[in-house]
Amino acid sequence: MNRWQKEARFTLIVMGLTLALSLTAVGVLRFVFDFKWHNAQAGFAFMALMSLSRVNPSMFRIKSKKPPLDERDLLIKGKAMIAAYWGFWPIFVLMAMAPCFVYGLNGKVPVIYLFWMVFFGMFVVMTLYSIAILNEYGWRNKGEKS
Amino acid sequence: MNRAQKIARFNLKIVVVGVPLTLLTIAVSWIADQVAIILVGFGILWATGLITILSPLFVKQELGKISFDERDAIIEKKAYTIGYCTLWCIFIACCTIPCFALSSIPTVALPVVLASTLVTVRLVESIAILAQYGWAVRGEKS
Repeated sequence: MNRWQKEARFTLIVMGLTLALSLTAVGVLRFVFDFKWHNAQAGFAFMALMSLSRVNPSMFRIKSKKPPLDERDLLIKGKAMIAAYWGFWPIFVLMAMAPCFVYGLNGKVPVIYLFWMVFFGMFVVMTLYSIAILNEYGWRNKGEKS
Repeated sequence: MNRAQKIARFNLKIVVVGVPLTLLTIAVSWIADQVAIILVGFGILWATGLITILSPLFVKQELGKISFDERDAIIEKKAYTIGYCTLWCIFIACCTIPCFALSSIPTVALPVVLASTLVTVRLVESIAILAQYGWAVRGEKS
């Protein structure tokens, strides 16, 4: 498993963990402690753990003398980025159009929704990017080691 | 001129016509104080964005000829990468700037942001493709 695969796998694990923790926290606050929905959303604070996806353990290891990536890795990285790019468009369309149907054309959206758009967009892009990289390499522990 | 260049030029022409027309319509509605005309302006912006997406359908491919090789794929990929960076810059700017000045925004603003982003990204991609091929009418024909 090479560096890109490790990074992608680590990102996916962090994303999954973050989402699970956040939803659990919101659920516990709402249904166990009987908080109101508005207050129970504080559980989404666990989403801050998403930033850990950029702190990959392999970054702190001593680098080997092997080249970290070759043309094939770059090709895979490029493909993954394009997959994330095309995957983001439907989400963007959905997030931009949904308030028109929910609140109506004369309605208003609180600006916090815009922050959620950025946050959710990044979540989707990073997840798609990691899935695409792992998919290109074949999901298994193979490939050059780094 | 190959097919990718033709599509990029087509997109560029559409944007060059569509965006000023949108701005003109909005300016007219502003002066005339008619909100309904603004919707027409936004409609034009949407149409511009949709046409740039569907542009490969409007530029015909000649049968029996190879119109796409590795070099074209690299150029297209680079253009997408530039478009991707532009998309994120616009998206984050559009989503964060209103937070400093407003507490809420009208729902109709979001589709307008979407259409403007789409048009800008397609414009940047088209310019990136043409710049990489060299702007001139050269390259493989298709």
